[in-house]
Amino acid sequence: MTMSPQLSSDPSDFYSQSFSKGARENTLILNMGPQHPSTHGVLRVIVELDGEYIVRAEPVLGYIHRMHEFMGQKKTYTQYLPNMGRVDYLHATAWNWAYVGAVEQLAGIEVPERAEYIRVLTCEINRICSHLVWWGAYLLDLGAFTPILYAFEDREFLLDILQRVTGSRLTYCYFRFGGVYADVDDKFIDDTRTFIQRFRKRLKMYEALVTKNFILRKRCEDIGVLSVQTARKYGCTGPVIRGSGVPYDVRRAVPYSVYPELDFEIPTFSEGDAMARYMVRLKEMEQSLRIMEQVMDRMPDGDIQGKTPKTLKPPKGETYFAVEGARGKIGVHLVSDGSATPYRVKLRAPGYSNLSCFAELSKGTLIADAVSILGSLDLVIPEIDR
Amino acid sequence: MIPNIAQSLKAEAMVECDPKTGQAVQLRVTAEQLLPAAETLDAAGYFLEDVSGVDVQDGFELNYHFDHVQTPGRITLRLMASHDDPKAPSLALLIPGADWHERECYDFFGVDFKGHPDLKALLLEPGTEPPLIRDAKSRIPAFELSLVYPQPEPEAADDEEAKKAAAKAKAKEKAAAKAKEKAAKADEANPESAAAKPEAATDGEQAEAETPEAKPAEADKQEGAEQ
Repeated sequence: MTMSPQLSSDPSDFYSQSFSKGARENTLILNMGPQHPSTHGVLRVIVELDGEYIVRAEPVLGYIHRMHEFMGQKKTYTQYLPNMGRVDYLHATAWNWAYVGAVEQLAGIEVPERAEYIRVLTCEINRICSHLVWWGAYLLDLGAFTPILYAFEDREFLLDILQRVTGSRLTYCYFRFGGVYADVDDKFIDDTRTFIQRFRKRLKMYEALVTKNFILRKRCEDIGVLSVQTARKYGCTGPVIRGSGVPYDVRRAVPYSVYPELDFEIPTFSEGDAMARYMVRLKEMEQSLRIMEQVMDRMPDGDIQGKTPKTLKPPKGETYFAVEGARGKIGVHLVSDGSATPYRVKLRAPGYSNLSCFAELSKGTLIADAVSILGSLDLVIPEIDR
Repeated sequence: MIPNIAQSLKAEAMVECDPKTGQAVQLRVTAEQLLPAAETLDAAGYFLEDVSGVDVQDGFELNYHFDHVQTPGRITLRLMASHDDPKAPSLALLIPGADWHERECYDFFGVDFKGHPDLKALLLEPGTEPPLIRDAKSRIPAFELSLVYPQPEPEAADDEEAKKAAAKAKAKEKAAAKAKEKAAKADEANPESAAAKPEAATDGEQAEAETPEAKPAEADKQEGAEQ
């Protein structure tokens, strides 16, 4: 049979060609993505398969790269704020916080106590939103359709709550230098308290329905075991390193805001497999509920916006500020030349480091397990590509 | 307080950092010192957070941010790669997490990491011009970034200021002279427009804007007297 000219021409691109150079004999090179559903957006993974087993894998990034760091050098400090909600759309408030915190640290802006409490409250609500989306999508990857409907039902309550103060439902731009955009009202507090009561019951239901499920356990236990050493070498943070038994959480390690005054635990599981990372996130949601309760009990009255200059020009110099996002350590390295535009903004995305260990984790696993590993890393591609 | 580990590292310069910088200690390293320093930090349980490039007058500055999970305190290794031939030793074989951070710097600044197992574009289309390179005019000197670079002597700074002030004064004189000429020319063509504001008054000082206006009037008188 002769092949049509179209088929016989080499359809591979730069990355496929470079990847196939190191291929063994009798293996199959397969492109997963950039439109594969299990890659949650536009991640592309090239894998070399021997039967159903992965010999090698290489993630190819950049399909949703928007060069946020370059935009930072073109906009003023304030104009750059809305970019932050778009870096990681699932935990936008944490990115708000990382950038705002870096600018405040460099410019020496004080934040009123009430604003700090509101920041913690909205950040934790957003963390639960993020974990819920991950939970639903991960189970969807593993073949369970119903949980995502439960997750989105609960998330809807939280989005309504956050919408009251932020004005948006996903790409929040709520934090301001020296405070927050709007004060929380009684309805916000009441709704949040109602949600906490409801969600505690739901979490129990999630556990009975999903976590104890035999099929789920088969798909997660002993899959993608990440040792402490490997996690550290790749710079993994967040639930990924806590799933390997390291209690590293920026909220405790390098405390910022009012976190030192709050009583909460850092859930860790030492197995290092996909199930451990799953459990960490579920337990984290419980801890977030605890934090939210304490914050609402202790929230003082007062201003929500500190004094900030009209045109913000931080002094010459540099700073690094990190916060704990739903996926790990979010860092902003900010350099100022004394003008109204940042000289350099470097964004450290936790997912970027977490994903970089995938090539090593997936070696020798079944392709179906690789999907489970990818999901357990909780990837948000816009954050990784920035 | 400088962590003990930092003191054991070989570096050109080391400074303890103000908390405002979000870092505990910074070290300026040469290309030869980078790998041993990273090796020591890695052995002590530090992890690489990121590699952040900054384009300054002296070259591309690479900031290697290290942190520890048990004893937090950011240690920054700062390495300068020249603009003409930007290169740096790769840490990717020692710390696999450095792989992608280095590829990112290769994308954004065109820095060539020697010894990297697979240095190719990661976030950008292969062959794209590095986008974060600044024009020479807008670059700041490295000493403004960090104290690990020799700071200019305060006297030298004074000298510079004096020079700048002198240059400014000269420029003002020139501008005034130009304005005078212009006014005189305009005067010849159309006596009405003699008082038009000269363009040269850019410094925004009121007095400056007034003097050139006042002078043509004097010139008028003189001319009148001659006639």
